[in-house]
Amino acid sequence: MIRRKPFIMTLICLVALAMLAAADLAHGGATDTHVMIHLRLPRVVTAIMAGAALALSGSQMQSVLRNPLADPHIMGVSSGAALGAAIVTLLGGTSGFLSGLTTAGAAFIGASASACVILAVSRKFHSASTLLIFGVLLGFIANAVISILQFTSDAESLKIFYSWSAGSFSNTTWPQIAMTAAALLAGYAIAFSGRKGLDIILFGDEFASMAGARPSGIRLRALLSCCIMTGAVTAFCGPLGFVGIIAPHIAKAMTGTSAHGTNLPISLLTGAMICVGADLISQMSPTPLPAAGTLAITGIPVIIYILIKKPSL
Amino acid sequence: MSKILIQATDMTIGYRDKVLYDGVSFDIKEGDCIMLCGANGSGKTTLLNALSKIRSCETVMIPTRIPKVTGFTAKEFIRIACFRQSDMGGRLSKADEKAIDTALDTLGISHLADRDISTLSDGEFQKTAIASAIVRRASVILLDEPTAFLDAENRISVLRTLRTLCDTHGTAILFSTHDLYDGKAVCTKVFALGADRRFRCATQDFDECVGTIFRKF
Repeated sequence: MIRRKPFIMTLICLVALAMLAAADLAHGGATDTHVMIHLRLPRVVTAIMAGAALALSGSQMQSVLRNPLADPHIMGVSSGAALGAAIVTLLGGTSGFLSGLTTAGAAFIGASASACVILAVSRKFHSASTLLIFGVLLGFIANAVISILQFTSDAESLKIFYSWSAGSFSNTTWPQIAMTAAALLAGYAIAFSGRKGLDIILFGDEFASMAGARPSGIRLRALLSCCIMTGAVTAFCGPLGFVGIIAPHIAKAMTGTSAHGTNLPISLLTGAMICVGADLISQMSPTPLPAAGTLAITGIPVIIYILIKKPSL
Repeated sequence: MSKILIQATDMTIGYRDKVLYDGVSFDIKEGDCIMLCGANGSGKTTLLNALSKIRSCETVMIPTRIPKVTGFTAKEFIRIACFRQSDMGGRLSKADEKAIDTALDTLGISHLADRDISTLSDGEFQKTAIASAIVRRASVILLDEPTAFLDAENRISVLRTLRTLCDTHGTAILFSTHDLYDGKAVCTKVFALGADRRFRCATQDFDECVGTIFRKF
């Protein structure tokens, strides 16, 4: 890998992100300040923060699980959020106490619940791969329950559920953006302050514990950080995959190092760039496309490229 | 008389529900280069693990097969390994940074300092791991099969390095290995986990001691 100056890479990312954001804001031609402040600006800011949060989550998960394709999506956190949203939107109409909950609130509860289950079992499982398999299975269970719920629901509630699960950066209000920002800040603080633990765990649990680190503690920290960030993003934007997988790889390729002190801030920027870029593409179509679909269509080829180019992964 | 670093008297090795060896007695002195031999599953790693828990700050264990993660230089790897010494951002003090250079020099791998560890040979990486133990100021270094995946040339080179380290730095080294012939040539002591479930320690007549790991009594 070729080493490049982190400072210059950060600058390049910032300029690229600013250009993408400007293009996204300007798309659709000149308009009045109302549309700008209440429609376009919140959408772009949401895309930036969602991308940053998912990239940071993916970066941490890939390190603590030592799996280059790990991200919150695979660990079942997004599926947990979807289950929460499904319970409220698909069952909400019939039972009284559930109808008061919004889709976002339910999704956050669902994400936190599946995160809590993962956190709880992460103390039991000492192997990273077992934990990954557990996450995948947890996602399967959530999806199975969702499909049962869908089968028994009426068309109207199905439509509400689908519009959330398709994913979107629009429709966020400024208070929701503030909540996402707080989650991003907290998650980043946890991740960045634990950067040397994330570095050492790459060399295996045995080596890490022999050197005086506590692998289970490092994993717990990283999962907590992921849960806070993914929970908030999934609640407001729907389950968005693939950003968390790709962004850390782009950051690594740019800096030429695997050190988290360098890569966490850069992953944050590359993640933001991917989401703003995807949003720009989805806005270019005559009717705005769902964000999750756009991300999958643009993101999966990149993952396949990574797999082909680096078969050792 | 060199200082005794670890003294075991009538120690029992094993797991909670299974005793592997009891009545184990030995001492590890400054400058000892000890070969630990035994058949597969005889408990070599268990013994090393047990010893690594004693005075864990001064005893450094290097496990077998550390993954060579892409994206770290040899120097960065050593910095990461010094987990206890580094600050929150993984930075080391000036004295420790100097210790890294000295350690790389001692092991004759200064030219590898800025190479990515994924491009190092297994022997070179093994030496880098040993260098990290020196920077961690280990008085006892435990190595679990340091020669397991090496070719003949690297094997002898790594073993010679170990011996040199013992002679010049007074570090005590205990390494487990299946390469009995090469190991015997460099060590000053032999610990043998016998086929009869008895622990033996020899400072001379290595062949006799090593033979007990095969013989059924």
